[in-house]
Amino acid sequence: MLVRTGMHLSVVLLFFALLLAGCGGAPVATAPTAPAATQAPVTPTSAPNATAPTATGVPTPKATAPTATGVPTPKATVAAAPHGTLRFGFLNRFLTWDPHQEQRPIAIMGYQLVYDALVNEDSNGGIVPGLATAWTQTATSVEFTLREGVVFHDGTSFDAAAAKANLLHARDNGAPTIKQQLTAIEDVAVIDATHIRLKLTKPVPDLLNNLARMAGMMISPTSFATAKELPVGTGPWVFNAAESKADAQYVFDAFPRFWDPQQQQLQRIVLLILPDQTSALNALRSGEIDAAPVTNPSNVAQLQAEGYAILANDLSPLGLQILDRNGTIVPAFADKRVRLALSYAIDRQTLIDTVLSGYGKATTQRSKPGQYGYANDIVDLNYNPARARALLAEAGVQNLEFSIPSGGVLPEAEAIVGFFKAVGVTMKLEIVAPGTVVQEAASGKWPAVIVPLSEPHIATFIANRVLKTGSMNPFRIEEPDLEALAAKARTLPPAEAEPLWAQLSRETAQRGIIVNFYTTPSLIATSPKVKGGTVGYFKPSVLELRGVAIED
Amino acid sequence: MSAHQPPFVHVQNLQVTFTSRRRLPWQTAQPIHAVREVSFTIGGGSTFGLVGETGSGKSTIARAILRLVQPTRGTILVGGREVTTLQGREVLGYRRQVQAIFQNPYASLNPSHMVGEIIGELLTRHRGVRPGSTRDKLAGELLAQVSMSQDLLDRFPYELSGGQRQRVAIARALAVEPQMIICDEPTSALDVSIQGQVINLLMDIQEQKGVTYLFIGHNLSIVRNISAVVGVMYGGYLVESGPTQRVYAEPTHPYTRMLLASIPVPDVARQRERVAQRRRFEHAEETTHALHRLGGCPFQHRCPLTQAICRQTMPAPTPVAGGGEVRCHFHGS
Amino acid sequence: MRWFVFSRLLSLLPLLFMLSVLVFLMLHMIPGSAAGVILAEAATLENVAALERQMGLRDPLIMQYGRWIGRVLQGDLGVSLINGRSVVATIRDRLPVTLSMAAGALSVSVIIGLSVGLLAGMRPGSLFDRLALAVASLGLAIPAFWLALLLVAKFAVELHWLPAVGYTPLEKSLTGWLRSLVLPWLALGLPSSAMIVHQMRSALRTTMQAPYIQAARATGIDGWALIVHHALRNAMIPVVTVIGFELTHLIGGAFIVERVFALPGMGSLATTAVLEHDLPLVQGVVLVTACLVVFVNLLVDLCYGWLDPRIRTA
Repeated sequence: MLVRTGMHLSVVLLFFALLLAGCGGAPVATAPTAPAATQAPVTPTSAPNATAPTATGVPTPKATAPTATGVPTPKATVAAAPHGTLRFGFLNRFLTWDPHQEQRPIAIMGYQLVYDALVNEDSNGGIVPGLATAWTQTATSVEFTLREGVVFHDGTSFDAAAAKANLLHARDNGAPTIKQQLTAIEDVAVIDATHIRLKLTKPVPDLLNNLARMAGMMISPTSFATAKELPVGTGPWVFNAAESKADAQYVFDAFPRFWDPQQQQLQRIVLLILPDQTSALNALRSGEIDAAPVTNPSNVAQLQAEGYAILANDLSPLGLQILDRNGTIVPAFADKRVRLALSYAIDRQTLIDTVLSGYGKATTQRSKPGQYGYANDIVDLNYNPARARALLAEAGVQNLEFSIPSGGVLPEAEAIVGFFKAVGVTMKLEIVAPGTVVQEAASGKWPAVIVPLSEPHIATFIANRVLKTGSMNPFRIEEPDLEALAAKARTLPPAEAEPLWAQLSRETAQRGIIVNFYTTPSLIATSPKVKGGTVGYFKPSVLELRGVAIED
Repeated sequence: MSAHQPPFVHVQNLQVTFTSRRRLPWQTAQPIHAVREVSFTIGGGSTFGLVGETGSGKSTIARAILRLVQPTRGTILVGGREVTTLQGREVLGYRRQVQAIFQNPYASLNPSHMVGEIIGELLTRHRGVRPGSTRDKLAGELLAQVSMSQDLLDRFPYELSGGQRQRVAIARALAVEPQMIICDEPTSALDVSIQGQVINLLMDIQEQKGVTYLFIGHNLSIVRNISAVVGVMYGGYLVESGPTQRVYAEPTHPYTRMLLASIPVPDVARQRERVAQRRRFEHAEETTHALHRLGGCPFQHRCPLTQAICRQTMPAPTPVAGGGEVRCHFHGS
Repeated sequence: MRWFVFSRLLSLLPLLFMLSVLVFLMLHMIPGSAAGVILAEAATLENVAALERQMGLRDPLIMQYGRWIGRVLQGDLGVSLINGRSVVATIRDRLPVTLSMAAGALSVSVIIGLSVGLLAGMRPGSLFDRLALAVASLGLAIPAFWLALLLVAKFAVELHWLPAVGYTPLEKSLTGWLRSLVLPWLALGLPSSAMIVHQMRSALRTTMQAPYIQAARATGIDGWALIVHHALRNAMIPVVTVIGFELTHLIGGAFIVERVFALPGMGSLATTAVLEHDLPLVQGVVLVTACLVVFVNLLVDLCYGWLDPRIRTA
């Protein structure tokens, strides 16, 4: 009898565990985190040890190409044979090795090893050559000059036909985001073995940024069907299926025929799946791995003191997007002064110090200086509680109260609630299922939402969040002048379009469409043995390993 | 079957004191005098019966002789050897001499061992018979000695009746061919109909093998049947002892008299009177334990004869006409 | 006996059925869906709805469950909704890790628990007994994950004796396997050994007071023979109950400890599967785990029968 009870009890316990697991944690893959910009050694802007030197990494030798026309990569010099193994603690897991089926930028950590994309992004989001050495872009076409002498891991040559097959494969069979990114490609014309021309149905300002990511990664055309399990690309490292084990570790070995030996200084790369931050840092400290993402900035100071280098890049800005600007749910939000009062209510530096241990950059607009679309003529929207109160009084709003969806009790949300409270605004956090915040926000049930502004390109950002048809504009609010501005910007070449995008960035902030707080950092700790390495632009926890070397 | 044989067991001034556990740390531990100043002898091949109520110390005497408790004072000589100071191999030799049967056959047999194992274990331990067919055969013969079928060798204790179990316990004791068996209330847990069978078995064994018994019981009739000599325990003291005939016919200690009064008799009127008398005893009994610690005779609070002297001193043993001794101030007066 | 095992296995079927229904319903009650996980950044309402329809997640629940159980009855546990891998293959990958971990942790806890409990129970009140009791009481209060972190900090991070994370399969390297599991075994096994120490100690003390032990002692059985042959077997009965509990407890503890040591076992699989709403995988994990638990309880029952003949025929 006792035993029977024991059995039932255990079953009940099992249930309980499942229930807790189901309701408690955050989903592994759903949260749409997104990344921001600027490569810089981390220094907490006002952290206790603000002077601590941080990155020891030598910047990778990378072509700093202008955006419109590619410049050939530096001539190949004789490089030492690749040697050594670098182990990296990967936070997430890989669902597929077919980049056209994947939409999470975090997976680029693995894909960058096996695959080359047509073009690459530098650490500020600028486009630099990849498998394409040069390109010319008009409103309705892009012509690429392809790199010669490149072969896939299976020996297949990379040429115009392969590029065409990949682009059409991704457009037609890719995951929803990938399809959407490439939907404007009407056709790909093979001009000769090293030239293709993409014919577009409409101007796509962020096309090159997308081609620098999953959508532009080149899979061996013979492997389209099997890439999910066994990736075959042209990248510097070959997937070692024999030594890899799903959800545990993935092994990559140097590809002897890689086109740029200089970038290939490691003989082997191992990605160990370490979802728990504490475990990952323990593994780093015990020497089992050489680099790991630091998800909690409060660990940075200690790691630096222990001799680890911290590499960083800014990820997506965090902001309060005011969705209900017509006042459907919260009438006061129809008044621009009320929306701007919320911006003046936030003490951004204190927020960063509290929530990010000082690592993070205060911002009042989407782009940073040096990034495409940065507006340098924006009005001061920084902390000014007196002004916030004055604006609210001016608008005749008292005791403003509204609710936003929150994926949990998040410290940043709690802090923001506090700042609003100080100017007499009550923001309530309604807990929704983790990972569903974006879906909730897009459903039209909420007047505002705190979200990472994760679009890597400003054009995508404006299209999603400001324009009438944007997926993050659930109330379908239309601002005709901004629509017109965006329509014009889309048709212009990037250089000419930039001032227009900057103007849109400025207006988004100044009209109180989005109240920006700060850019969150993506931090990666590397052991002193690791030489070099950069953190990808708008790619959370992605350590770019090309050109990185390791000492014995 | 009589006291003229040389004594096999000689207990002299035996004293066993337990220290009670302190319930709370600041309480002082109270010593419990389980056995006090007890002396008696048992002739080889005869039976000494020990009676007394629960807690009177009779089982403690058995346990002291079995070396299950260490006496505080006194000597126990068995076959001329001091029992309490035996060392190492001597203990095993002593175990071979003295075996025991316990009160509750339900509890005294290991529930997870089969009968063959229970008996065979001692054959192995004391006679070096290895487990196997020889040992089983010997065990079967022992079962036959207690009138049981050999088929029961591969039964577990729970599959047997109470009487069968006690027979197994007896067979186990016989396995080492002991000179003495201590029977600690061997029949008290059995049905009345079975009690007689077990007693007869024990008596038969004594007749055949000349085993000495220390027989502890509270059923006076059974003790009377089996014992040549009886001792009566009260409050840790042996208050009266002597040949069974004399003690039962002419009890001299007031407690012995009360005890004998509790034997059921066929006369209804006398029986009723005795029941009433017993009630008075039982009522008094509840307070007895607490009073043990006071000086004097432990029976003073229930005794109809109590005088001032009973509260002062415990009387010394004095001989009784017809054999034996008694410890009462008023003996002979 | 055979009937006992058979009937036990037969009674498993309705249990598994109910379990699968409950898990199915519970997973549907948790907000979110596998479609949202797959779509990640592209999880707009329309995309999620479209994908959910395509995956059949919008069908009536009874239909969805029917489809699943229909396949299961044909021996097909299906494929993961998230990455399309066969559930059976995934579990086959993970099960050895968890079994290695549970078996080792159980060995640690049983060996330490029984021997310390035995030595303590043999000499009640001795210095060893009191020391064992104190340490065991402390052990009861220490959560496995905390011990895991302490062990990692000492033996991996500070001394570099053992790896802090990761799992080496047995077939690849025996020493690697041992090295990767020693710390998890200790982290899981030590707290649970504390429970066994307590139980063993008190059970032995109680048993040593039993009349048949006194009787055996009087007949000349003493020392280790008395403890091993007479006391231990009977004292083991309550201990086996505790060991059974501890074993199911270990499966639960493995969920957390696997995470600390980044071991790719059933625990982390279950957690991920639940978080990702990967219904076929969750069901597969639950079925296998439930079977394991039932199997463990069956073993415990068989142990009872061996230890106590009265139960064998009852």
